[in-house]
Amino acid sequence: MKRRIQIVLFFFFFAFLGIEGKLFYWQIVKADELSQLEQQQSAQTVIISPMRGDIQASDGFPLATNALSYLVFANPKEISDVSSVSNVLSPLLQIETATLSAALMRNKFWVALKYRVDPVTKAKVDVLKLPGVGFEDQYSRFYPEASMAAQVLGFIGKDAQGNDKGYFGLEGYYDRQLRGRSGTALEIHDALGRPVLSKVTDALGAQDGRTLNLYLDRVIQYQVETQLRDGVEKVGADSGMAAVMDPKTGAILAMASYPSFDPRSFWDYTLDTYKNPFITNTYEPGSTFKPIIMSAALNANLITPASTCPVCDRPVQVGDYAIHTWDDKYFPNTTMTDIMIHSDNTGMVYVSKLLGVDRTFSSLQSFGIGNATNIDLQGETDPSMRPKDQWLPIDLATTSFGQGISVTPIELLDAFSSLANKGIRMEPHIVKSITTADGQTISIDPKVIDRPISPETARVMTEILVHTTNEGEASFARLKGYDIAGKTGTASIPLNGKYDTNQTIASFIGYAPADNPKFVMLVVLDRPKVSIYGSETAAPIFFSIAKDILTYDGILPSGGIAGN
Amino acid sequence: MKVTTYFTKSTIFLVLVGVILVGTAVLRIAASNSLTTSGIDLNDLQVRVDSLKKENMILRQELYAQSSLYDVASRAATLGFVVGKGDIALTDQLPVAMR
Repeated sequence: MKRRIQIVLFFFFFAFLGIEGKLFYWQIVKADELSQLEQQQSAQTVIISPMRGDIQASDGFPLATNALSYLVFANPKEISDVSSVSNVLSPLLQIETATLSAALMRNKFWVALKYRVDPVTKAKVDVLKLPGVGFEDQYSRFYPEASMAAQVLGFIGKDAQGNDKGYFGLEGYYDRQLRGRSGTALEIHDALGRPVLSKVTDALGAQDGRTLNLYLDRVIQYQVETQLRDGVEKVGADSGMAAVMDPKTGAILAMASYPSFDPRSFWDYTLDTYKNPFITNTYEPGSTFKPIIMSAALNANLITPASTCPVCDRPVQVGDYAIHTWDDKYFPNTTMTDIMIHSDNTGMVYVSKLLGVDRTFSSLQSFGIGNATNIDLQGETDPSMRPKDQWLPIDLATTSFGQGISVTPIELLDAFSSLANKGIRMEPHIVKSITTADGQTISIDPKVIDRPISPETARVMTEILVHTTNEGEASFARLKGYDIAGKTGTASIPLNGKYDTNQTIASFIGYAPADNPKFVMLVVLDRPKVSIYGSETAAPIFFSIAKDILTYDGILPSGGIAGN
Repeated sequence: MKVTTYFTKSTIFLVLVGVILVGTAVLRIAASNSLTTSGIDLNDLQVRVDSLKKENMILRQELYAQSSLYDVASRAATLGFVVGKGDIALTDQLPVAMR
């Protein structure tokens, strides 16, 4: 009897030992594997897409932000009456009925019907309660000011993997800052798919994009774009561009070109329109380059404003070439100030000879000519100057009046701005600061690049340019009551090795108020038809914009009650 | 007497252990039961948060579109406003006779 009890006890002992062994195997040895299986069944890894950062003007208004839109999709398997559904959806989604029908007849469980549908349209479709039709949230780029500063902003396209990517302008240059970082979250669900509180979802590594805060002034940008568009159409130019900069900081207050494009539908435009010609196109600046050369000569104490030119009574011979003035008028013993007022090419050739190749070359380098400005926009061209040892006498001569040398508009504007900033050249910048997703602001300080001339030279050159504005060819269009330091430019366009004098790049560059400049601006017109001269085409546009800016900034004209 | 004391302590100890075990088991079941259904509330809250965020975003879009300079200028032009031709600046000196 006792033996039987012992046998039964042993049987139960080994049975329970077996159960414990199995439990040990599943709960300890196989624990990790089972845990992973459990997560696969009831847990889901969710990719948290970051929100792209905004691009805000100086007043905090977003020029580019994110908007809620919807992807309308359908499950063809659930749609019995394809014809009826297509007819109903076609006018709402703005898609042809045949295209919709073809999509709804596909042997798929999911087909996309339309991307980027706005909330109003979505609501209209939703209310129809069409079986098999659903919506997916999407976030698309939204430009509240439409095409304002389009070439400065750039646009959002897709990369090879189908992810959003910025192209051109700020969207391209600051793409990594704006893009943010995707993260992952683990969600545990019950059998009905509802989340379970026992596991908290953690968005690991997700970070929204950073916001760019620009120097760009929305009001000035609007004024520049409007006046430029009207001006280009009025003079019949092929295109035009303009930019306004604060010479003291290098801050770009406005930058526009016409024609432009709409970043909301960039695919409707050609590649050429995406590029910002103010930073990508090179051109021969013509007479707007003369102040650069003359200030270099003043700075080297080779001339004074009252110095006279002994060879300006006739065309100047340089090798096999004869250099004429633009109007074939010659002024014997003309002063440096008058050379600028009359835009006298022969006088500038005289000045360049005094400077010589070495000093001209080093001065131009100090002014930033021949180098990129490093403005924070994608696509800036880096034009190089001809090496010093390749300069011929005719190159020295033509460079003095802005022909035979190519610059980008931003390069010229930056160089010219040093005249308005006591001889100091600043690095141009669009972005003032960057705000992170958690609210921290990173400032981008203004950067001094070089000092090509002394403050005294800048002051003297400013006086000469004020005289030029008041007494030169553009004096008829000037703003009365304001001292504006400026220069016209009419550059012939080189074609097939020759200059076509009937086609010009007309321009005007200047800054105001002359005694304490708030802005420096360059206006460039490509091939104006009404007149080829900068004084008659670009200058009026410049003064019109300048008037708006001065009024907006509350800068009064000098002396008593004034009216324009 | 000794046998009675030993028996009472053991019994009390066993009963106490039993009560604790059963009690904690009951508490755990009650807590788990309450937590399992909180997923519904969590889901509802999440849906409400998402809905409010979307509504906020849509209103923001509308606000920006209405207050854009180009939109304001367009509506002003429709209402008949035009760009002023001339500006007059008044300086500190009053343009009137004081006496």
